[in-house]
Amino acid sequence: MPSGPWFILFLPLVSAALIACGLHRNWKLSAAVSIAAVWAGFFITVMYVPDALSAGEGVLFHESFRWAGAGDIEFRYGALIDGLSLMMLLVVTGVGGLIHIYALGYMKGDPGISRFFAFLSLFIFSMLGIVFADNLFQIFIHWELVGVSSFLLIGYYYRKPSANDAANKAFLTNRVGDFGFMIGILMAFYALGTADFAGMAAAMTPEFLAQDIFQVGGANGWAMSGETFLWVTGGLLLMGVMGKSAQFPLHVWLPDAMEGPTPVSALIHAATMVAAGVFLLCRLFFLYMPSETAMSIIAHMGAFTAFFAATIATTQFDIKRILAFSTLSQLGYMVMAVGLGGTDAAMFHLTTHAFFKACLFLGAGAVIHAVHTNDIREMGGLRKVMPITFWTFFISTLALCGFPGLSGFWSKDGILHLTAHPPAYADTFLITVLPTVTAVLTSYYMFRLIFMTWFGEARYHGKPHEAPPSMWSPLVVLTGLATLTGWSFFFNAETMEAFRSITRPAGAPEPHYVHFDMPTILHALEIFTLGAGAAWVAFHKKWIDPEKIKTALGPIHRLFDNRWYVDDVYTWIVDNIQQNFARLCNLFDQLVIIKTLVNGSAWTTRASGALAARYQSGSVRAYVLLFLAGVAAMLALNL
Amino acid sequence: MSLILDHLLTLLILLPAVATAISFFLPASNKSLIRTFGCVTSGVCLLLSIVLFLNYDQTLGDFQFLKKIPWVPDLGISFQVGVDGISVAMVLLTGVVYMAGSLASCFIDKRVKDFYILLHALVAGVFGVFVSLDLFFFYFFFELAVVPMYLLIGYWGSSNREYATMKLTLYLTAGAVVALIGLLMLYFSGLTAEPTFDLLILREAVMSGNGLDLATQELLFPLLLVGFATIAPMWPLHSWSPGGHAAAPAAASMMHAGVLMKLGSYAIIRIALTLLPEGAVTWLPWVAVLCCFNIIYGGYIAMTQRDMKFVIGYSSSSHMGYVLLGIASCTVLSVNGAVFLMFAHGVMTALAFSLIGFFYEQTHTRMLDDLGGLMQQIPFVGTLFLMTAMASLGLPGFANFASELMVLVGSWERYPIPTILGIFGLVIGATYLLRMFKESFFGPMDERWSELRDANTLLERAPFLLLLGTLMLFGFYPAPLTDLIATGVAPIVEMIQSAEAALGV
Repeated sequence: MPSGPWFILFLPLVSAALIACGLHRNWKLSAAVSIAAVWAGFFITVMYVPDALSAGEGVLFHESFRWAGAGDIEFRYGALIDGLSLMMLLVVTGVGGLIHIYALGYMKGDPGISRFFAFLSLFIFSMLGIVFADNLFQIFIHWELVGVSSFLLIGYYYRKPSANDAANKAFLTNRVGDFGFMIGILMAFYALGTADFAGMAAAMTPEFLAQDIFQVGGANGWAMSGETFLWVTGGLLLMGVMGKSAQFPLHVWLPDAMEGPTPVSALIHAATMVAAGVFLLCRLFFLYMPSETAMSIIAHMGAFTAFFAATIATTQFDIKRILAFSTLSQLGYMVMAVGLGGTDAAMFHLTTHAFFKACLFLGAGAVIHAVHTNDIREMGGLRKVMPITFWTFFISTLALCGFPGLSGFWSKDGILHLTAHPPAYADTFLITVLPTVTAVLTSYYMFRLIFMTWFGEARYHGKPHEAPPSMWSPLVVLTGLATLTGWSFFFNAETMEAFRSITRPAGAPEPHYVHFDMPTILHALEIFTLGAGAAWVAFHKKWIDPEKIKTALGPIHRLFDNRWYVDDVYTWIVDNIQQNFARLCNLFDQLVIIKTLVNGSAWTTRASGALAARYQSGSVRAYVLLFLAGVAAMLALNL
Repeated sequence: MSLILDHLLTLLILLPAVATAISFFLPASNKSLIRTFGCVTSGVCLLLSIVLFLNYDQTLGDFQFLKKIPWVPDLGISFQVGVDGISVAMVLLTGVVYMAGSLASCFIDKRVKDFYILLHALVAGVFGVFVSLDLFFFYFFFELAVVPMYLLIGYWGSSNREYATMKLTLYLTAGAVVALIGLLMLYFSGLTAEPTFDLLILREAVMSGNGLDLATQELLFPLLLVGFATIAPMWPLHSWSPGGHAAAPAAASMMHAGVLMKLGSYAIIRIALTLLPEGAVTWLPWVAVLCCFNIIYGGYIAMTQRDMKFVIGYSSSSHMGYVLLGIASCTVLSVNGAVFLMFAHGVMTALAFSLIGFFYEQTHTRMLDDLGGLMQQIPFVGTLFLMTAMASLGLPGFANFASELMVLVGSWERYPIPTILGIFGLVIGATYLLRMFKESFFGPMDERWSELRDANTLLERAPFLLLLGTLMLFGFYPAPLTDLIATGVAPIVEMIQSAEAALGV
């Protein structure tokens, strides 16, 4: 009899299979099965919470079985619950469960609603597999499965070419990331002799790290020093993270992924899947920690992504895209935190971000549902029409901006605190200045969004109304979580200790604790007021015409508005280099292989046949002549 | 039951062979009788191959179910059958594809009788190759399997079929002749005191350290390699394959890409690697180079194709690159992965061709420019086709992923650069498959296709579900199949590795 955790993992898969095999004819039953599967997982997970708080860093559950293999190499499939995975499990099943309920309201009446719930269940299974994984190969398996669930859900409206393009882009960008990820896995696997996380960590002994020469890829491979090996392997594994967590330069798919239905954007492209990369970094922290180069790559990449995405968010008009770029930016914060040694800060921000960003996306979904557009220029004044959605959206925005007291304050200041005390490898400008600027930008673009959507004159069409209870109740719950997470830490130091210890890998540096003191609050308020104030001046009071700022900024605004031209560069590479290379191969196949070699040999055969046929004239005299000539030739040769 | 078990392998060859003979006497006008007879025969064969799969004793390993009937003792020719883990996997593959192919052929209406006669004959040959342990019969069955394909494409084929069928036959015949020269030279090479075609005796001689001298092995290996790799197909001998697939009718493509192409790589493992281990050590690095062309070059060409069958055709040659990479690397894991991939790719590609065949019957075009939005009209076929594409691009949950993973992991320590190119091939594969799927099934639908009919009856769905079920069964839990294959692979790899040690490579 399999034990509890396996049910958490496989119930959603069973649900997806049941819906696919016939349940889909009854959409209510499909939705019920799908929702039940994820909530059952949540409740089983909750049962492990008391154990986790008392056990600290220990492993709470671990079972595995042989999945495939040959010779002395085998691939195993396991379920591992420790503090880190428990935290992630709670987020995935909890937030996931709320979004399932929301989806019931949002997708009602859609002809493909059963299919939608099957895909959601498939996603939950795929995501839980990453969380449960006890080895790199299992992570890779579920990495791919999460990719395909995301592909299916982004392309849910399959009649829309733009949705298909976005789905393909997401899948292919992730595949590019997985290219490096797989090589990294192979390098780590052969060097450490195992893909099992515990075994890998155990193999990272000081003697191992002190090796001067490292042979990668066997005798035909490359020799490198231990330090080089660590950061190359780490960097390659990081490519997988860049793909899933949409870090620069593989971030391009996430904004386009907003083509999917809004619950998908909330669940996959804000709360859970995109956090998988951060989760993986925490899991593999033992691999990164000994290498300053690797840590430095992570920290700087995260810091740049955070800033880069925030600048783009200030210029967008599509409500979901603004939130998408905001997600990119926040993921950048988390990745940077890992790079600075603060896995607990990263995991904490991941958790709070899942709450408020899911709430923001769901709120945006409710708005889109009401006004039938994504463009914030066609909204305005919605505050009075949709009060519940407004308040949840507003509070979540405050949380995102790190307003003192709300969850985002605790978690973001944990990260900013890390940047204020940077390690030696950190670049002063990128690590200490840029994140603060990014925080200001965050308040600016979020309040730009708030003012244009909810305040001012009504620019919408039709008669929008408040969302149904199945849609607003998850919003309220998420807002509650976004408000309260953190306060529990303030009042109860033990919880905070426990949280920090369970999500901190063994051996990670001691974290800096955030103290709820006046300077911290003032600093947070400063950042908040600067950003939100600027938005207030420009978009609420309209003392400054935004158009004038655009003109004044000139090329900088164009750079931001065009997403720093990254997409254009990629399009150019695909259209010109890849496409032409493919054509070249095809031309070679047509001309050299088929025309010359194949048809050429056929022609030679035919021609020699024709030549031979000429001598098969049927004339006896000719044969005799040839025979004599032959005899003469032989004699001549022998004599 | 024990009687059946005793003669299981002979039965597997005899059943389709007898079915060929019986079909001659069935009235051509009674199409449903011929179809039912075909499906029942293939069903029994599938059952027998499952029985074989379940009864093969993995703890014992080596060749089992041995039967030997001397035929021409003076020349050392005997009818000898037996299976190891590798052959059992291939027999199971043949059983599954045969059954699915027979079911899918039920919708052929032109000269039904002749079609089934050829189908049965082809399968008899394929089963024969996979269970024969006598080189003479091996070659006989090999040729028996190839010839029907000429007629299948010639009569029932579509686009440019005369050119395609000629090219295919000439290529395969030329390859077979080169292989025959190699086999005859091997026969006369004095490996054993009395020349014999008995694979077990030959293998015994090699294993006991009395193998051929290095120079002879180095001369013979490329003959066998090139001869058999033509059908595999290895770059640059691949040219017959995409056009051949495109011209062949659905059921023929299924058999062709599903099992026939696997004869080549099977023969390389069974004969060339087993009997010429030292020759293999010299020549396998070249295979490791050529397979990169299969993977990358085949993939990029697939990207430019507009005919769906050409896309799948070039993707097949790309996937066969992974099989060759696994063989070239010659670790237990990589060869195991290669054999597993032969199985997985056979099932996957049969599924792809049967699905394309299903809607091609109605649309009469496979050009991506003409299609689009088919998902709205034929969601069942569309969903299955999407799953096939996902299997092909190496998505976990399908056997293809597990096998490609094994090839890549197994090859890394031997040939890291080809392995990296192989991993990059996964990106290329995703590119052309997703693009193909988008352009054919997604997006807005052309009015022309509003009359398309989905696969609604159980008979129509059965072949698809059989193939997909097989892929997912071994995709979710590959261990039963990989452990089985490992019993056959391990001794061969061990021989190559000791040859390597002896040569000091």
